[in-house]
Amino acid sequence: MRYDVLVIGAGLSGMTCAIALAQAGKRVAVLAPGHGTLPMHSGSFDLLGYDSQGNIVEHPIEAISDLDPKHPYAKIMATHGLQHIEQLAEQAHRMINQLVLAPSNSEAFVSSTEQRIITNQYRLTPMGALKPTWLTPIHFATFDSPSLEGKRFVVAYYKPFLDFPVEFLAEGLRKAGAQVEIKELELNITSVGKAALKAPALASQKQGEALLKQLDGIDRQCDLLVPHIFDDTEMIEMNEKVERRLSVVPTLPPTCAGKELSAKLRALFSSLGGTLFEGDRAMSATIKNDRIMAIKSSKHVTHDLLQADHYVIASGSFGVRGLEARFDRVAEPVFDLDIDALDDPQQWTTSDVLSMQPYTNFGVRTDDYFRPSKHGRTIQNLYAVGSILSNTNSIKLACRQGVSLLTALQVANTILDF
Amino acid sequence: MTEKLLSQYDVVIVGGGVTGAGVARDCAMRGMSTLLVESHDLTYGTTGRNHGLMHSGARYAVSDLENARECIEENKILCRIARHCVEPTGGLFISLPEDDLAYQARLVESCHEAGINAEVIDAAEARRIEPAVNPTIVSAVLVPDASIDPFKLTMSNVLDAQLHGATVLTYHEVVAIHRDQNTVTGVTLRDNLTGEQKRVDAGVVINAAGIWSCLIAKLADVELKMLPARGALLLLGQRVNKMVINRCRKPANADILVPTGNVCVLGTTSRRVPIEEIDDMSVTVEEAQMLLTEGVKLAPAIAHTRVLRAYAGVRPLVADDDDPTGRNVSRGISCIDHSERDGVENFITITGGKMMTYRLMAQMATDLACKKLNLRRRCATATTSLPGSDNATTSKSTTWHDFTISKPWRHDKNNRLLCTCEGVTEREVETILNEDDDVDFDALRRRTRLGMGPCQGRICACRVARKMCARQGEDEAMKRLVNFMNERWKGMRPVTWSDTLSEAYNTALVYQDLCGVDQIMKTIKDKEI
Ligand SMILES: Cc1cc2nc3c(=O)[nH]c(=O)nc-3n(C[C@H](O)[C@H](O)[C@H](O)COP(=O)(O)OP(=O)(O)OC[C@H]3O[C@@H](n4cnc5c(N)ncnc54)[C@H](O)[C@@H]3O)c2cc1C
Ligand SMILES: Cc1cc2nc3c(=O)[nH]c(=O)nc-3n(C[C@H](O)[C@H](O)[C@H](O)COP(=O)(O)OP(=O)(O)OC[C@H]3O[C@@H](n4cnc5c(N)ncnc54)[C@H](O)[C@@H]3O)c2cc1C
Repeated sequence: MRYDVLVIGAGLSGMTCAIALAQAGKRVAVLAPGHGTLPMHSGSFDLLGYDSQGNIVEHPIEAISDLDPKHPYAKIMATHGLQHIEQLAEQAHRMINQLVLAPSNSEAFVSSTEQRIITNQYRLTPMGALKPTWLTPIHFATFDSPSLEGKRFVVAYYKPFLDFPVEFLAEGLRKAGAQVEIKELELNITSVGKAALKAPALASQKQGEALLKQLDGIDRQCDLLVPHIFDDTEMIEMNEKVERRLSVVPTLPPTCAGKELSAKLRALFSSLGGTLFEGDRAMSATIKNDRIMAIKSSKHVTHDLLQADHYVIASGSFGVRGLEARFDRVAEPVFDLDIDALDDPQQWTTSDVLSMQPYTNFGVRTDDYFRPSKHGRTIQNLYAVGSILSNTNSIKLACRQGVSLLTALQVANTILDF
Repeated sequence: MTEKLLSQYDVVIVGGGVTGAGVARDCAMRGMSTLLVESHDLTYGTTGRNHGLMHSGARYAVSDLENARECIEENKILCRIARHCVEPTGGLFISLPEDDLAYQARLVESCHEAGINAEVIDAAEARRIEPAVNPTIVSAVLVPDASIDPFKLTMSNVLDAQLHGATVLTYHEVVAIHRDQNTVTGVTLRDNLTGEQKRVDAGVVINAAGIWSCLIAKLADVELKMLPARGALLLLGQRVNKMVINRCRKPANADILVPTGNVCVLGTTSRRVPIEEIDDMSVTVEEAQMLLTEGVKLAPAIAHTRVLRAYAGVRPLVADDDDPTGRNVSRGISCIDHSERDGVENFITITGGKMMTYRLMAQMATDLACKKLNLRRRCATATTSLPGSDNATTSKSTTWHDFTISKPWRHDKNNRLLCTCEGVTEREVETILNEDDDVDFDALRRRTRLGMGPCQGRICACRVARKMCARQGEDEAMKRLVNFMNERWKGMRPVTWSDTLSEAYNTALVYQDLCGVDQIMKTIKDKEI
């Protein structure tokens, strides 16, 4: 079987690219050994939250001009201009709209003056930080400003669930100026063994009703915050029943948002006729005259190699083994692509764990069209997208989902223009 | 641990490693009023930074028969009194094609002379009983080596000392030793958390401060020359081998692999360091890579096993008093009566030796202390089991010791796991935290193994930090969480290959990208300025 495009990796970037191509009628296959870093997805989509000095960015598109020229956004800007980035963002927004509940700041996306200015909102993290973000599903707690002066919250938690740090959450809200009350919930959870409860497992036990009953007596002036231990359908039902603002806050991983997003990406892709090889990991490639000829994977060997006109590598960073640290160098394990990294392992890390760790910026080296190279020679029919790219600095810049979405769509467009 | 402090004790013991813990137990069992002080936390010193090997003595048989005899005798005793700390794995001394078989013959002969069971087995048999062993081996010697948990061993001794009335103070440093002319009369302690100082009188002061013993001696105006040798070790994230694997040759780098719990420890190196550098426990990337390159020869599977972390310890070796050059190490145990050696009364140093000879060392020091205090009480530590060794621990346990030392407590249905990797429960952690405000993550780790598994604390850290909020406040709990992350990170930095960066990256995604801990810390720090 030959495909138009073969995508390696089924995280946010791989699935986005695959969906965009399938929507345009391409025959696409995805090698999906796992779910990328989606299990750690907060629910929000960050585009660019901080500049390189760590200052909060209000208007992410404007701030892109100040990024390091090696940043993936800067590469798109160099070839297509800033306006094109806005178009990609719009395209991404449309796709996300198909997947999650109506994102809450759709108004902010197109401002009243008909001028398109993307303005960051602030998402509430599980430990009570307010981080600038771009799009967030409607039922999550988000704010227009990092100051919550004058606001009142009741934060509910379920004691046996250990991965919702309500103490830190409440403290974060207080630090932002809000008044906070904490309320313990009683839910009807049948626990399975001694292992700690996980958010998606709680969601499967449908506790919406039980939760609503306990919220009756609470002061109507307060916003209610509850852990995200409900699935989307239940969230919609609950929000129809309460006549007040009830918002969820993400939990520690695995998150419900991540689980649902991953399932929906896969479902959308399949509904478009795409082929998904679950549990199948790319192993190696045949390369001739600077072109990929075929891919060997854990489930496609010898006579059954995978072939396509174009290949997209979206296998992620270190966390999911898209990149591997060896004794003496950093490597991309499938093709052994050229890598942007420091030579000396002593310099890969710094002593303060919270400061920018140089290794997080390592990744596959590409040209401005996201084509990687091997031994200095560009591979003509391969593209790299998402966290495997070098110089994203995505943890410190808060641009992880944005980089995945925009590079994936950019590459999809390039392939479609062929 | 902050307990009520008296102004006077029969004995004050300096150092909360296994030696000090053993001495405290012995003294308390013999009815002396006993104070044990430790400047950091229990097992902070070399005791928490070694191989965890309960030698059979075979390793020393060729070079030092007396040392080997001590080992095998103590080995047998610990198998009886500290069953919960010992895993009787057995050990192999393997000969590879490049190793001299004449050494093997000498090893076996010396073992027999020292009373150590040592049996030569052929390669096929060795591979059968230890499938992980290097398949190219020529033959091997089977000996009664075992693995021993230094943390549990120390805690059990401390617990028993406390049960016999001893007072134990952690984060209390001895900053002065008082003398009345030629007699030591007491010490001054500094509370390292508050800076407060207290004076305590002592009938006898026992210096069990490991490599730091020379500094303690100096406080009493006594010269003790030590020859510190630093050794680096790697902790592998899987239990590759079932038995202890040693190279059958003169002791050299990376020639021991000890299985312990779910992991194994590969080591070691040995480098003399100047006395000024004994507090530097860093491991370099080169050292780590050398250990791995050599270690693969013991068990090839190591090459594909994740290295969890690297750490280093300093051997407390004493210079031989009889050697005028001061360059030679005194073999075995140094139990020094400073009245005989230096004319200073009521001051004893007990160091050298090994972790596994701690009991014997404690006995020697306590015998001497008894003599000085004119007490005639026999040592009973060789025949009295440590708490937790017999399964008879009381079922109504409430103290951290009981939780950590008697495993059965972990199997309570309503007791959720906080640290899934190491099976540490919510109640265990709560009990420890309730008992002592000063307990931080690292102290929890030493008492429960929390955060020592494959994720090195990623999953459990936040859960524990939550528990600290009520007592410490959110900001302090957050700071402790970040400290812990930094501590764990320190041990990962020399071994950044394979899964280490993968784990670190995921930790950064959870705590920074998802939770914004870096932003929260910034706010806390800004507020403090
Ligand atoms: C790399 C390596 C591998 C080893 N492997 C093994 C092995 O496999 N098996 C084995 O049996 N032995 C082994 N050993 C030896 C063994 O670890 C040590 O002999 C033993 O742990 C020493 O224990 P200790 O209690 O005497 O000293 P330590 O554990 O160092 O305790 C001394 C304590 O004194 C405290 N202290 C210092 N100054 C003060 C002060 N002023 N006031 C209060 N407290 C103070 C310190 O904080 C420290 O906690 C190894 C050693 C090394 C270095
Ligand atoms: C028998 C045994 C079994 C063990 N099993 C486990 C286990 O299963 N899981 C586990 O996680 N751990 C295990 N450990 C190791 C333990 O977690 C600690 O790593 C060990 O006790 C050392 O303590 P530490 O990490 O606090 O030391 P630290 O002194 O904090 O050292 C941590 C790291 O920092 C480096 N470092 C120290 N000082 C400096 C400096 N000045 N500059 C730069 N770097 C420095 C060290 O080299 C080390 O790599 C085991 C230890 C022993 C002895």
